[in-house]
Amino acid sequence: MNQSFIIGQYVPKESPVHALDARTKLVIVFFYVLVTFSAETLSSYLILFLFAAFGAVMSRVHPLFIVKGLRPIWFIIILTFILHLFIQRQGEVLFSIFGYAIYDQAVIQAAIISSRLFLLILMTSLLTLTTTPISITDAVETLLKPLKSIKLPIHELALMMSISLRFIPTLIEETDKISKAQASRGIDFRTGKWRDRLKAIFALLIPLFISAFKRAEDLAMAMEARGYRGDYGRTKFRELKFTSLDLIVFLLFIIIVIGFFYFNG
Amino acid sequence: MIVFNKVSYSYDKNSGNAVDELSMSIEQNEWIALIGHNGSGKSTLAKLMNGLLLPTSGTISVDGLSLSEDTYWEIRKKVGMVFQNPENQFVGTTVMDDVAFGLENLGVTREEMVKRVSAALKEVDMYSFKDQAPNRLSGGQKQRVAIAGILAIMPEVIIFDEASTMLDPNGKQELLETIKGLRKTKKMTIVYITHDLSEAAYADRIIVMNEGRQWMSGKPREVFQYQNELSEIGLEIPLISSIYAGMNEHGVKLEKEPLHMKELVDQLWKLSSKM
Amino acid sequence: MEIVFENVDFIYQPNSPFSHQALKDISLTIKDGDYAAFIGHTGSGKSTLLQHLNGILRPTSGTVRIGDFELTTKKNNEIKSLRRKVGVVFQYPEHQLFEETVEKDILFGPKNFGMDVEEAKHNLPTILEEVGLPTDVLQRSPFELSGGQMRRVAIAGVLITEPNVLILDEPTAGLDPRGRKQIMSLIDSLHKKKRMTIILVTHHMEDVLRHANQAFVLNKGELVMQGEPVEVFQEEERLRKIGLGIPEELQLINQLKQTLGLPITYLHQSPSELGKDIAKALHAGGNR
Repeated sequence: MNQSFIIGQYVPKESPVHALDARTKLVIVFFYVLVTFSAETLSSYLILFLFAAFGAVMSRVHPLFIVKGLRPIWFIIILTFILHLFIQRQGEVLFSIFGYAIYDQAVIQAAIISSRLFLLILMTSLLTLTTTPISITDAVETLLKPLKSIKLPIHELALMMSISLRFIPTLIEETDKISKAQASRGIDFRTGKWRDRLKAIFALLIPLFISAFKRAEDLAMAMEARGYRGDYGRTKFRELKFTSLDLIVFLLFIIIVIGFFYFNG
Repeated sequence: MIVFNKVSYSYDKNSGNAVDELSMSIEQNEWIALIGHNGSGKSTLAKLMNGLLLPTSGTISVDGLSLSEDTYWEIRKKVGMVFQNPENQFVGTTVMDDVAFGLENLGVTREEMVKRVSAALKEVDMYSFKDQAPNRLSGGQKQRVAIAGILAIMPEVIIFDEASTMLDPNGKQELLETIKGLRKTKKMTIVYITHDLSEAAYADRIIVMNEGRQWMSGKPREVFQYQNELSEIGLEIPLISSIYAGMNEHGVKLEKEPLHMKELVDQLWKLSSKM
Repeated sequence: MEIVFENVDFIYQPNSPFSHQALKDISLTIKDGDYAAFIGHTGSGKSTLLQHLNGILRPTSGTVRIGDFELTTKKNNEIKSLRRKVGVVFQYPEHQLFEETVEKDILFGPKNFGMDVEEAKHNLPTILEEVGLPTDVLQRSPFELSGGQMRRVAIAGVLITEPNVLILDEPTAGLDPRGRKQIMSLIDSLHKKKRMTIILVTHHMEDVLRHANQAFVLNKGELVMQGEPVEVFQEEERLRKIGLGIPEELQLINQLKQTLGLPITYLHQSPSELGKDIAKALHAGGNR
């Protein structure tokens, strides 16, 4: 019953976007986000939108999935739009609703801000839809490697991330089991006084923490038994491969960015 | 292969010894079943064998190498361990990643890793699951992946620390079949810790632990004759042995103590054809 | 309390891509005072079925009746009183302990159910004796105890609410033979002395044969067999087909019948008595 809970909502498919190196995707999304924040003209937005749409089509992920992924934030996008519509008071009055004037600049501003939000979320969800969480972790680890020289524990951080990913389904299952057991002992998580409900949360959290600690202890023991001694002399099984496809995509992205700044004035 | 010389271990100074002045040895390629009730010291023993614990007193040597703080990394390459909870020893996000984990730790090159991971997974018949996430696997399958992770390191000894306790009957069967399969293709010392004596019946030799000491050691047939004594220390001989004991009391004598149902039925068949 | 399932279906996450039918048209009756056992391998629907018995899950369609209580697809507010009457010991119940002392943890249920806590406190020594724990554990932290003791504390926490029906999901998982025997005989005495209805889920076919008077076999969400354990286990072939085995003693009896023609009936003999019967039959000579 917990299978619907997919962190990052990865959709396995064979597509050029899936095949890209996670580092490529990560770097492009990063710069895409930066560029989006400086977008001001309609044509520059159009360019950004075309790039995102192109990516979405190439990913072969069903559009419904993307729409669904955006569902929780549609509300925010629309709210932002409406807010800006009413707050901005520049330019000429276009029309008025309930005696409230709407300005033309407001419409433009509202459209800009909400499409900015839309594009950001579209691109980042495109990243998570086409890249396994573990590849993202690997990419972060390799991209941040230079920071090791200033004593940042990059390897440990990445390992932590990957173990967390590995144990999320386990912990969700565990939560489900414990809450059922406590419900059978008469606990009610939904109704009652706030004090009772607080107690109910403790009855869930304490066993959950204890079991998580026990698991952590077991896991540490198992890792040690398998010769884990930190970053010391370690090699990596997972490999990120930078292919000609990545090169092409990078070049395409650079052209897009140049075009963007040209039209952005 | 593994030699214990007057080994003691205690978890804290105020309590008694979990392992108490124990001396014993395990030969190369032997399949040992280490049995005893919960708290008899058998899991502590297992952790001493690959340096997860260091003895409070006494010495342990593995393959001629004496266990100490300087050598346990070496010893862990020789002694692999499968733990009780299949869930809590799965490190990787996929089957392949998990098998590779030990190799990564040892700094094996990627080329070599890819070869060894595939070979090990094929050996435990889990190759077709190589891209699966652990939450899609059964307990028995997870334990097989754990075995593959150890095989990839190519150790000389594998310790199963109550590795079947949390499995259902099918999972237990899967695990035992995998070990039997390994024994056919490889030279390997097996230390199988359990409190289920019907699983211990497959071993070459049984070591019975009680209160941190070796209480008895012998071939399964020999050990199972001590029905009453074993039940006094909280163990139960396999059903077939109990049934045979009842038959024996009523005048049915077989050539050898039957360990499994098949042995019993075969021998009874021989006997009755003579009658 | 009699338990009746009528055409119960249960679907996890209906109308979604993850939808999965866990129970298919289950109809069964467990009489008051029965010792019922549910058999089936992981994923057969056993756990889902159990969770219907105290209203953790409600059927997608069909009805579950437990005594006067009716569990349908609609929500019901009296669920708490049902949960008091139907005690559930989950698999590895020690994982649900959380209070600072054993006493507090055992009294957690009575408090939630609005029972007289003083009276429950008064009953503590009796309950502890039943589950085989010394009274001096009461003021200790449950986490200082051994795994076997923690499990007993968890069972005591269920018994203290005086349920009529006790459901146990693999109560002996992970215990050594001694611990297993003790738990199984505890269940036996609750059944016999307290006349509790027992519902046991287990992989140990021997326990089903020795203790239960009703067996239900589940496979892929369907109830495929039911009846007295000895009868159910007669159908060795059918059980094998769905990946289940039969108790070793019955396997042996069957094999001796086939190979040597020895006529031995299973009458709940102990293993050594069974050995004696085999010896006798041998001396009498098979019909070979």
